[in-house]
Amino acid sequence: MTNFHVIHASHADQASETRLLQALATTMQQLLEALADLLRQRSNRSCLAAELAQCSTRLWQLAQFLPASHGMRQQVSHLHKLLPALIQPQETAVQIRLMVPLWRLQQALPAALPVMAPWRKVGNTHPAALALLAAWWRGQSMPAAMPLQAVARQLAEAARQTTLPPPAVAALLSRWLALQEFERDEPQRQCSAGLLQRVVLVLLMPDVVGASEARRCWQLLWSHAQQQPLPADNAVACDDLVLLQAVQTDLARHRCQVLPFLQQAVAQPGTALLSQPVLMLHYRLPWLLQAAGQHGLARLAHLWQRCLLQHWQLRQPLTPALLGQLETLLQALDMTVWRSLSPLQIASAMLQLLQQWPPANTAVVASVPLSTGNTAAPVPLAGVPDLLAQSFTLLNRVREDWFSNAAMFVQQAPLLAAELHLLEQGAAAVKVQAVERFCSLLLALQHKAGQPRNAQEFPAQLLWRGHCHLIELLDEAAAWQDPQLDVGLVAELQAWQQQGVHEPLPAWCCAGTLAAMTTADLTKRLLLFVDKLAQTLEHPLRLAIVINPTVPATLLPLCETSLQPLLRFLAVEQLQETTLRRQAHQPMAIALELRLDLTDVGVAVELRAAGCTRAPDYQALKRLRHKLPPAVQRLLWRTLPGSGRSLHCTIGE
Amino acid sequence: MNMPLAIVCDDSVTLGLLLCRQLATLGYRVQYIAPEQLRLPLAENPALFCVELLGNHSNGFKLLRQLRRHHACRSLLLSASGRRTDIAWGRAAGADAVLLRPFTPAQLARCVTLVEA
Repeated sequence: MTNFHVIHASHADQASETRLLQALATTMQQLLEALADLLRQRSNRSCLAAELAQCSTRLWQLAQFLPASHGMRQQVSHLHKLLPALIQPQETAVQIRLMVPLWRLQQALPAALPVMAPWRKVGNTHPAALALLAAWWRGQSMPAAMPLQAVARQLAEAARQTTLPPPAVAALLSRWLALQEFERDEPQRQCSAGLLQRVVLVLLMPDVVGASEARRCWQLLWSHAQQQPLPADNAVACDDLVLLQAVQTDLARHRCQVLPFLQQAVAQPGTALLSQPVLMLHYRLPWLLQAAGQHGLARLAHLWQRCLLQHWQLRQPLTPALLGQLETLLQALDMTVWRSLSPLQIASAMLQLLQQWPPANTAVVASVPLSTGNTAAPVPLAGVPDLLAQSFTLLNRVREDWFSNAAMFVQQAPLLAAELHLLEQGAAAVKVQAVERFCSLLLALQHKAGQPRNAQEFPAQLLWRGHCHLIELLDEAAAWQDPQLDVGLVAELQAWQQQGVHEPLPAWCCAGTLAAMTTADLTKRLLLFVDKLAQTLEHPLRLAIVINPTVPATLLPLCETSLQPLLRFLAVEQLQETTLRRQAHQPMAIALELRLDLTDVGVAVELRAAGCTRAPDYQALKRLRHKLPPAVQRLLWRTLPGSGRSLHCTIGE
Repeated sequence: MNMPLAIVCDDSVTLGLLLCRQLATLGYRVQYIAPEQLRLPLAENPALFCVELLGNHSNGFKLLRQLRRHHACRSLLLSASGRRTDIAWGRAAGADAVLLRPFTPAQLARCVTLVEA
C-alpha cells in the first residue's frame, strides 16, 4: 500500500501537481500557527497535550498528500514523532527542539504550497459525501446533516477495514480529482465520475456491491490514477448510489422521528404509549435494511416491529429495559457501525428482545352474531381483525341508491344491520372505540329510519354520508391509524336520531286512538320511550322488537304500560355493568331485544340484554315487582347461554 | 412502442425506488410519486398503480378507493405486515392483487402477469 504515495512523485504533469498541492497550503498554515500558539501556552498542561496531539495528527494527515520525497513531508513527520516527548513534564529542551522545525516549516510553506481548494469543487460537482470526507479530513466541523456526516465517517472507517490506509484513500481521491479537472474527453470524464461514485458505494455498502465488484472498482481506480484510460465498456451504473442515498434519507428520517419519542419515554417511564408514526417507522425498517443488504439487522428490526405492534395493540407502554434496547437499535442503524455488528451480537439482541416480550392477550370475544340470527363460536382476540375483514360482504358494496328511499333501504337493512352488529362487537373487542361508537350510532339511526310510519323525512343523504364515513374509519383502523370521528357528522346524526323525542306523540298514537293501536303503533311508542330513556341515561341504547301479529290489539296498550318499567329496569341494570362490559371486550351501547308472543295464558314477554350475566340485585327485583301492573305475572330472571341475561313474564287481563 | 405506465406510490423512497427498478425490467415506464404528492386524477391514465398499504402520512386503502373514482387501471397493493386482514380488506378497497413483502422479482412478475390478465 505504500506504493500509493509514489503516485504523486511519478506524476508527469507538474502544473496539476502544483495546483493539487496548493490545496493543502491554507490549512497547513493555519495548523502550524495553531501549533505554535499552543506551544506558547504553559498553563493548562493536560488540555494543551490533547490539542497538540490533535493538531499534529491533522498536520501529519495533510502531509500525506505530498509526494513522499517532498521535504516538507519529512519535516512534518519529524514533528509528529517529537510530539509524545512534549507531553512529558520536563519539556523545555524538547520545546526548543520542536520550535526549530516548526519555524522552518512556517518559513517554507508560502513558497512551497500556494493556496488551492480542490475539495470545494468536489462538493459542487460530486457526491456530497466526498466533500464531507474532505471537510472531515481537514478537521472542520461537520454540518448538522447527520447522514452525510455518517457517510464521511464510514468512508474513512471502511477504508481502514479494507486495509487501505486513510491517507492512501485520500491520495487516490485527490489524484482522481486532479485527473478529472484536466480531463478534456467528456466520455472519459463521465466514466471517471461514475467510477468514483461506485467507489463510494463500495466503501459504504460492501454487502450490496459484492466482493468481486469491489475489487474491480479498486483496480479501475488504481489504473485510472496511473493515467490509464478507463475501458469504454466500463458502464458504471449509478443506480446503487441513488439507492444508497435513499436508504440514508429513510434511515435519517427514522432516527429523527424515533429519537424524540425515546427521549420522552425515558423522561417519563411508563407513561409514553407507542404512537402510530413510530410504529409505522418500524414497520418499514426491516425492508429498508434488507434493501441495503443488512440482513442481520433486518431480522432484528423485524422482531422489533412485531414486538412494538403487540405493545401498540395492547396500548401498553414500553418498559425501561425495552427503551434501552430500542436506543441500542437506533444506534445500530448508524451506517458507520453497520459492519461492526457481528451475527452473534445481533442474535444476542434478538434474544434480549424476546425475553422482554409482552404477554399475549388471550381474551376472547364472547359472541359474534351471524346473519342467520345464531351466534358463532367465541373468537380469539388476535383473530378478530381477520374475521371482520373477511365477513363484510355487503358493507363494501353498498351503493348510494340503497339509501335513496325507505322502501329501497328496508330491503337491504337486515343484512346491513347484521354486519354492523358484527362490526360493533369486533371493534369493542379490539378496543377501537371510534368505530364502535360510530357503528352503534349508525345502527340506532338505521333502525329508526327503517321503522314504518315514521313521521320524519327519510334521511337518505345522512345515511349515505354516515356509511361513507364508516368506511373511512375502517380504512384507518385497518391501516393501524387512529380513526378520527367527524364530529360535525356525528352531531348531525345524533340530532336526527333525537328528533321527536321531546315532541308530543303524533295524532295516530295519542291516547284517544289507543283502542285502534296496532303492533306498529306499539313499536313506535316503545322506541320513542327508549329514545327518551337513552337521553336521560346519557348512554347509547337501542331496542329491537319482534311482535307476533297474533297478539290481540286489545292487549297492546296493556303491554305498553307493562313493558316500560321492565325496559327502564333492564337498561339501568345494564348501565351499571359498563366497566364489566368494557373489561370483557363488549360494546358499550346497550342493546335490548324484545319478543312478544301469544300463549294460552296471555302475552309471553321475553326481554333480552346482551353482555353481562350477573344476577340483578334481589331488592331491586322486588321493587320492580311493585312497580309493575297487576296484569304482569310470573316475572322470571334467566342467564343466557352465551353472554347476557333476560327477563320473562306474562301479561294477561 | 409506447411502454405502459406504472406508478409506484410508497412512503419510503428506498422501497419505492426498488419497486420502480423491478417494474422497469418488466417493461414498464415507471414513475415514483410520494403519497403526499399524489394528485388525482392523474395526468396520464396508468396501466398499473402500485401502492404501499401502510404509511405515516398515507393510507393505501383510502388511496385505492380514491383512485377507483378516477381511473380504471389495474392496481397492486403492497403490504409488509403479513396479515390476512390486509388481503381481505385490500381486495374490498379495490385492489386487483395484494403482494406481501418481502417478494422476489419472480413473485412480482407473476403477480403483475396475473393482474394484467
